[in-house]
Amino acid sequence: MAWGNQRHMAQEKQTTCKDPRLLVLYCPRCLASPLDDNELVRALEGQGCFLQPLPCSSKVKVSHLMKLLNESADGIEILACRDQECRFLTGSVRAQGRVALARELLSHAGLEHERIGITFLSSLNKGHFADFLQAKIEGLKKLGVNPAKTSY
Amino acid sequence: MIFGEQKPIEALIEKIAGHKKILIAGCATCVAECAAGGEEEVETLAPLLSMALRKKGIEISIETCVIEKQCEYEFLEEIAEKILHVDAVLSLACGIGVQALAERFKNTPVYPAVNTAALTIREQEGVWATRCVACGDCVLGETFGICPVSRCSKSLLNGPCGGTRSSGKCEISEELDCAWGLIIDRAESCGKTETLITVNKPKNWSTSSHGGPKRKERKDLKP
Repeated sequence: MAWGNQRHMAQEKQTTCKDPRLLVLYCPRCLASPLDDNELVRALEGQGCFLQPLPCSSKVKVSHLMKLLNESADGIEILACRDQECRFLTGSVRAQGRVALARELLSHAGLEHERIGITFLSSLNKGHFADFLQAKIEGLKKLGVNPAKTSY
Repeated sequence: MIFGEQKPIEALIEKIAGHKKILIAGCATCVAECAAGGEEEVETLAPLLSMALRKKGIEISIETCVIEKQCEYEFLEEIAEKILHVDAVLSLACGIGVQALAERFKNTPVYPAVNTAALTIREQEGVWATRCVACGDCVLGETFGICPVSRCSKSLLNGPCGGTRSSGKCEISEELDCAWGLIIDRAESCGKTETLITVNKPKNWSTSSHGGPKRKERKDLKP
């Protein structure tokens, strides 16, 4: 895979989005019910917050996080089940370990480790979920756009 | 297996900063097992380096590959074409793999991205411990399968020493088992404690790295 050429491809597209993009990778069990509210999803996307459900938060690898930050994301938030609530028993613990490693690698590389976060939630309703993400979007706005990514 | 740890990213940037196009080459064998240089680590390092370099205003094109066994010439042929189009290779293999690449592709600089640290066993998930130092004169037959050369802090062939703690740990760390304590326990389980009375003679260290570079030949395997 060629990593360096992506910048040129991105420059060709030249999107003008100046707001940071937050990618939310979440375990559906963090929510009280399945997220089938397209209006809410579209509203969040309008604010630069993109949702991606996972079978389990432990499916996230450090390489995924790096690739996403390198290509297009300004921030990544992983939503995992609370301790003792993961249906795969150690999924949340594994996700937590990987996030810790990813943040450490970012720090060593001179990048803002705050761009990757993990939160442990349980059966959140849609209203609280939207409020929670709103706070995350505001937090990411303070950090701004990821200067090291290829796609703008 | 051979255990390695990735070098700090700053050290890697320093090496590759002058190049325009590099290849990050992982190895799917030992360094993949110890999560230092397998596919996941290659695919983590490539975007991370890319971002770190971009932040410094350096633009380098990065290609990636993972070789099944970087320490064998035959397995290197699959990247022969790829390597023609890069200025340098950043190898995530052990020291043997790095040297195999450098020997096979003489015109391309090869930099190590991993510090080769030890010959280890995976004691548990995320924990590796030394079990061998490749001394070339194995004494495991006399020590009930526990290597005092690699596991005793003083590499004593007759022990335990006076530094053993009452807890059975070594004086250098409460976390480190006294190798000779373990040997005595194993001798007791085998019902052969009497063999421990035999004094092991001083070891011939010329077969270890102290004896200079090794080159072994097997006539039956040579063409």
